[in-house]
Amino acid sequence: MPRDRFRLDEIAGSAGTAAGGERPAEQAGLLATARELEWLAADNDVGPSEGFEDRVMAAIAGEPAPRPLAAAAGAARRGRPAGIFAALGDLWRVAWTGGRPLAVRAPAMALVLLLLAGSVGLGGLGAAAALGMLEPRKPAPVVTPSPAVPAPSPGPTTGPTTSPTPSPSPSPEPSESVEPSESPEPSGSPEPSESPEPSGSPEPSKTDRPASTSKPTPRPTASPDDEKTPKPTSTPHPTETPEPTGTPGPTGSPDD
Amino acid sequence: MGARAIDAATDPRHPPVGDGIAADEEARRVVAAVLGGDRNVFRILVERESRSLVRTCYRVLGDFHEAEDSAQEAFVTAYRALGTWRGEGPFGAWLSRIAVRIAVRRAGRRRPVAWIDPRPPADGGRAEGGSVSESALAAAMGGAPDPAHLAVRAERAAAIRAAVAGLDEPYREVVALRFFSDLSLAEIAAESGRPLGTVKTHLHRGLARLRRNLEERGVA
Repeated sequence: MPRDRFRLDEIAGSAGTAAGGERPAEQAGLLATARELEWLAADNDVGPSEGFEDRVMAAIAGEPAPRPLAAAAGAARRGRPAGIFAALGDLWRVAWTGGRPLAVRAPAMALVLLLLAGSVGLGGLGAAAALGMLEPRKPAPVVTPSPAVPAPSPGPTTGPTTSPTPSPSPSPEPSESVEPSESPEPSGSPEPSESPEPSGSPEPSKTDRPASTSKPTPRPTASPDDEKTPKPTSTPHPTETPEPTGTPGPTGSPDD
Repeated sequence: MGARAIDAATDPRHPPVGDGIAADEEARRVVAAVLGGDRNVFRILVERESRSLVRTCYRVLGDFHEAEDSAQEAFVTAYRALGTWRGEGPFGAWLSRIAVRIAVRRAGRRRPVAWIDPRPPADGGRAEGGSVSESALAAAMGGAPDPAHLAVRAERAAAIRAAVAGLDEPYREVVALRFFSDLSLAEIAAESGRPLGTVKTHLHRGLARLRRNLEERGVA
């Protein structure tokens, strides 16, 4: 039983009981309900059985030490994010509110400060990473030759003895093929990665002598030099002419 | 039942004036000692609060064994969270709040059962509550319980418990703490961190809803 039986003035001033505006019937109903509850409470006045305290202490003996850090670790082990956040909130309260021994508050303070420092550090790193990602990406120089470039066959029209650069594509130095007239290969490109196929570079600007390849490849059918290129349509795309034998044009280029 | 006789004069829920402050100070010392590593000191609080805690759970649940289980779970839960007790309000109020939550949750999981108590009914709420020894004495003096009357009383109690358990929060908690856990509204306000006016409003609305619920059940 409460110290006093319920009276209506106990809830005076609550919302709904403004200035005695409640009807007597409603007041009687509230009082009757309170009496029902008091009857139930008085009718159920019991105490614990023998040995209850021992059972409670036995159950507590298997529990970890009641520290907020242990609670957070337990929540983390159980994989409960809500429990982790609740434990962190408890840590904060233990650290910064009074009424607790220093032996309890000091570790909580240390852990809270550690977590704060870690959060600030991670936040800074995250911000720096985000800013770095927002910056425009600079073009990366191509320094490595494409390893997928097959060794071009010298071609049937050029003998290995006549060509000073039998494999021009792997050579990153354009100076090794500075003489296009001597080079039977149309791919005089200084960057082998952009002309993987030895049959010809579709981009004239990449060649040492643009005139040597620009005429047949961009518009082969409209070019007036079509007469000099036996099969200009067979070499618009490098992939279409994997075999250099099908493109006799390199050596027959107008520049030669 | 297995219940122990209760002497109202030594009920820790009704300490003499001035003992409440001493009890709170003792609770703070005990909690500090437990947090310092001496867990056996917790027995002091268990022995001091177990009677009121089992009684509170029994009022919510109506089953003695479930009430003891709930009270034990409340002690263990409180022990785990002992570092979070602010020490500003009574330790018993904090513990009762935990116990009421556990008991109400347990009551919501099972079907309502009308447990028939062979004891004679208490005096309409005027007496402090009949202990087992008092009940036995009353029975010996000729107040043998009528089985029909016992059944009606048990059904009435079960309906009230079910109606309380069916209340929404926070009305359920306030009603249970006020009437089953013997806390004053000021203690409930201090423990829950709500303003006293808010607690009054919650109790008022809770009683009104409970009234309607009991009328629908044909109890009121």
